[in-house]
Amino acid sequence: MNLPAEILDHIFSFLQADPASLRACSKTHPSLFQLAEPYLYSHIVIKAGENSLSDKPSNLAELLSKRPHIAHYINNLEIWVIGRSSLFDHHLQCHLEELSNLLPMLLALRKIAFEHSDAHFFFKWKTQPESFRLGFLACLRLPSMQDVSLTRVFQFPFSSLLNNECNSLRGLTLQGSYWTSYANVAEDGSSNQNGSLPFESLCIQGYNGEVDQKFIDWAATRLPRLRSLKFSSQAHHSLVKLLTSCSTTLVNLSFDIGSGRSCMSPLDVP
Amino acid sequence: MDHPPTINKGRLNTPSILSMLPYLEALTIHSELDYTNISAQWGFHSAIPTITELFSRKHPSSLKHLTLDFDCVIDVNGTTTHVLHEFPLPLSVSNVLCVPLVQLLSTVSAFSPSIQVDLFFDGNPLTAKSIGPPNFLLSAPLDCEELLEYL
Repeated sequence: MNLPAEILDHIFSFLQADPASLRACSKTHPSLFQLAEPYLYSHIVIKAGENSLSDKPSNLAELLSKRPHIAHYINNLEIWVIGRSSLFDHHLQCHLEELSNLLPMLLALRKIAFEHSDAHFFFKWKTQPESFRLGFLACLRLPSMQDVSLTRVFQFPFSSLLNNECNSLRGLTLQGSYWTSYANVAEDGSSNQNGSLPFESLCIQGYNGEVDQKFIDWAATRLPRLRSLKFSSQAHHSLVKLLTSCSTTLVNLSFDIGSGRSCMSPLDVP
Repeated sequence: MDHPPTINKGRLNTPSILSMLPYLEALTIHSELDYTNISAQWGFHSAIPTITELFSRKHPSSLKHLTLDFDCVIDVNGTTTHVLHEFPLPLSVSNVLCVPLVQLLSTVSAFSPSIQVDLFFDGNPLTAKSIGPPNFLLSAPLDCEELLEYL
């Protein structure tokens, strides 16, 4: 092995997007495995809700019990809720409780996503195990945490994002997720309720093309430093409201203009 | 839901967007090219003229990169067959797609010659209500020399 470790490490960093190649490289030599290991476990997907899943929390628990140092390599955690058939799913509750034991070990997380798009129901945050809810919110307070993504989550306590404990967060993605009541915001008694938050990136995808106006009102007053905005909804009034609030910082904008309903009919033949 | 969300639907005042964002460097616009039935009238719906309007007023801008991402959607309920082999209107694809696109890219070029433009036609995955774009729609821009000059 003639290449310096720094060069190999740099090469492996590019292979993160190709896990199969990364894994193949890591198996060719013990020294390469050591160098590749942080990248192999940098991005973890956990699937909760079905017992037959291969990526369920117990698999991660087993891995971390055998090789606890891997916890420090996990930067990006995605939690997918799969195939729920009812609001109170036994497997889901068990998996989330298992996961709540693992979350405190993941102290190097930079990005966390909760994905619930594969189910007919909105994921009701309040009905999930308290240990999981507290563990997830604790992850948002990690000094390393930069980015949170929520897909089809209802009743999420956004108030935890509002206070000073989560001020390392820079990116927020909400897909079909609705704001909880204002009452919950007040319950926290946060001291930073009126200040601006240092989020630089916001991605909003409406549910059936609709967005929650309460969230837009909050974002327009609390997120004035956005550099990147992705707005996937045709609620254009809300888009303009957000643009007005971050007009002097925004450098990257993506939005959906729909079909415009500017119709060319047979009568329009030039 | 305990507190139903307030739903807001509005119309985008496109010409004002670029003027209100003086530091914008990258802009991505997603849009549908849509053959469907609106108010009992079948037609081809396109936001290309609206996007053109966005660049119609010249003002200082830092925009460097424009991405246009079009989804082509054909409502199968309005077709006699699920596989279309020709454009279902007495208009040509050139009239509804290529000419407006050339006009759009010409306007963008006049707005700022240095803007890099990426054009995507992604199509729509097969669903119960729509089918992917037929080849005659996707191949038309590739056959338009005037359009390719801008890309």
